[in-house]
Amino acid sequence: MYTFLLPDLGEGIAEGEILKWHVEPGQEVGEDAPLLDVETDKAAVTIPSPRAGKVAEMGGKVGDVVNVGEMIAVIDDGRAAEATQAAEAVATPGESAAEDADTRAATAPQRPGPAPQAEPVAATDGKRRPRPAAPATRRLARELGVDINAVEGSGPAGRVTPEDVHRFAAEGPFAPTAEADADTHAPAKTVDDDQSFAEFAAHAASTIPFLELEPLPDFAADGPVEIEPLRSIRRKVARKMVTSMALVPHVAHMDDADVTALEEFRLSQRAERGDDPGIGKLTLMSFVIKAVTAGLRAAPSFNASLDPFKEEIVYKKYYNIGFAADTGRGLVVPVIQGTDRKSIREISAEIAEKAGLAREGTLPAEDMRGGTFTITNVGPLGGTAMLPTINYPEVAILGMGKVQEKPVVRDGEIVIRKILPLTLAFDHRIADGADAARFVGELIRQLSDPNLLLLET
Amino acid sequence: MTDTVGRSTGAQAPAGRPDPVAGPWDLDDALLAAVHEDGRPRGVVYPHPTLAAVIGRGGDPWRETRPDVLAADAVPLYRRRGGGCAVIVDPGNLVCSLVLPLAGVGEITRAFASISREVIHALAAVGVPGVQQSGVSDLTLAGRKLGGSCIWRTRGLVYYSTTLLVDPDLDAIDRYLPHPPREPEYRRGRAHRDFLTSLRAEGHPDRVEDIGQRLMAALAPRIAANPLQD
Repeated sequence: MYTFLLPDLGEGIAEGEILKWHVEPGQEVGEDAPLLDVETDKAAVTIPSPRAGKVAEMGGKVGDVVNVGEMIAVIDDGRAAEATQAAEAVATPGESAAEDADTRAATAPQRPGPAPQAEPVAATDGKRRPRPAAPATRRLARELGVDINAVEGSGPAGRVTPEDVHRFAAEGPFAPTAEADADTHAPAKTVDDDQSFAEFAAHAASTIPFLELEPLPDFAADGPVEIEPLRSIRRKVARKMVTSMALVPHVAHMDDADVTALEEFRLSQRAERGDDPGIGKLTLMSFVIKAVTAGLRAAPSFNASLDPFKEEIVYKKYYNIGFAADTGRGLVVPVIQGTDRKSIREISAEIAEKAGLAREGTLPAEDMRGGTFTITNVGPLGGTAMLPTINYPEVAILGMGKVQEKPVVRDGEIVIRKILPLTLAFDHRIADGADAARFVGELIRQLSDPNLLLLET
Repeated sequence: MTDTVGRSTGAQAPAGRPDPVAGPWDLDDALLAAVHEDGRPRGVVYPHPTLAAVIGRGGDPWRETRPDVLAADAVPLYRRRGGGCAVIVDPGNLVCSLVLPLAGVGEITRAFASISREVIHALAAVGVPGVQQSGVSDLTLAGRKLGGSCIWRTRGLVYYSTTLLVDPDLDAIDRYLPHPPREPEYRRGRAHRDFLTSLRAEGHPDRVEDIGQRLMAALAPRIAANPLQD
């Protein structure tokens, strides 16, 4: 058995949509014969079979979105089970896929059944390899908080099945306690081909009191509609937001920062430096990132994550700040790594670069990973207040509103100042309202006095 | 409902609308066969012979075009090999199709950038300086789109095709295409008329055929050197 994983299609391309299968289950396919077509944003790719054999399994249906590294097919080539990085197997012409797989592939486990203590798949080069699994199974694992690469698969070629994931979640090292299991941590279910909506709805309703899930009405019966599949970034955002709202008890703390002096300084510097590519547009975001970094050092709870399965709080000693960017295709969050070690100038330049790549759809996946805190700025579009959703598993997110000139009282006088509305949404499991008030108070102090921020650089 | 690649089209399509068909890509077929045979990069530049709508390999004609208007005007609806959104082509467009060998099926982003760079240099050589690559795959002049490109990747080959707007009927684009379902950031919601430009609109009076011949001559040595083999 040969498990074929979706190869790396190019920098910044993390997934492809299945357009067409050239084969059917059970069909014989020759090496290099077309297996399936997938499409990225601008390109279509015909992926050939890396092996000759019988198609034992297909990793998705037409219309499914498959991530790079996920199983797309299992080919019964009459040999022992293998799982290989498809990118390696098809990378070099003239070098047969068989040679590639033999020398570099991870050997998938042969032993069926659950193995909660299994080590992650290890390759001969010592690097961790992804377990073969269908997209729906990977989605299930993510929803259950299971590292799928730690699950031993009982399917063909060591493929991880939904049952393996459920079993691992129930018995594995991250298994919830007996009380918790009986309470709220029962394995979630997903709707797939062999599970009816009725089953799914009944299960969901049995775990959440008063929850009533019904299929949507036929809107087309009431008037013209346009139907758009939920794809790509939009689908990822949907999953992230539902996960966050379902798992995290959100609380919001709101306050205003007087940024009059900071804005004078920032705009004067921008005017002076012009279009210096080494500094970017010197946006307010770069100053807020620096202020947040200083605030996080004083309030480590907001730079943490809560592990609900181990019942532990993980305090991170590094500061990677994400900023939400509207790409036109959906929301992405580029991450500025190590903001405590970078100047405002460096942060500003990095924001400009990564925001541009995000909008073009070429931001590498690694630049969107590892965030410890997120900032979202709706100010340029307007708005005085917002309730942002925490970028789980982070603990807090800061929302910036529009800077506006407002009358305020200073020393008994009404004066016009530039006011930045701030909203901190945070995980109430880890922090309380008083913590949030102190944290936001420190942000306001930093943002009100540019000299303090400059001391941080 | 499914289209010719067996893919769900999402929206409900009224009866009587045509399904897209494979386009008249004989030249491309010949290019692919030749490069597959001997591994030498090749290309062809030609004015599109007729007015047509062309959608991407996985594109949804019901979302990206106005099929009823196309059908009423007897404008054919074709499906190309590469991805991307729908375009309208006519004899005022130059089609530039290139096939280059590149191992594997990946490196799509690099292929777009490298081949676009060669096309931009070739355009400059024939008297069209200032063209830039914007978004993933567009060619722009003064902030407006001058050409769009797509890629079809199969093992060992990159098929790249770009359509340059030399002297097109821009009104036809408004007539047959709604605002696209997705757009590059630099488009900023602009309507077709405000977003697109052409060489004629930018002050280049040459005939489409003449520009095509000069472009092919400038592009040929660049492509023959295979810019993907860095």
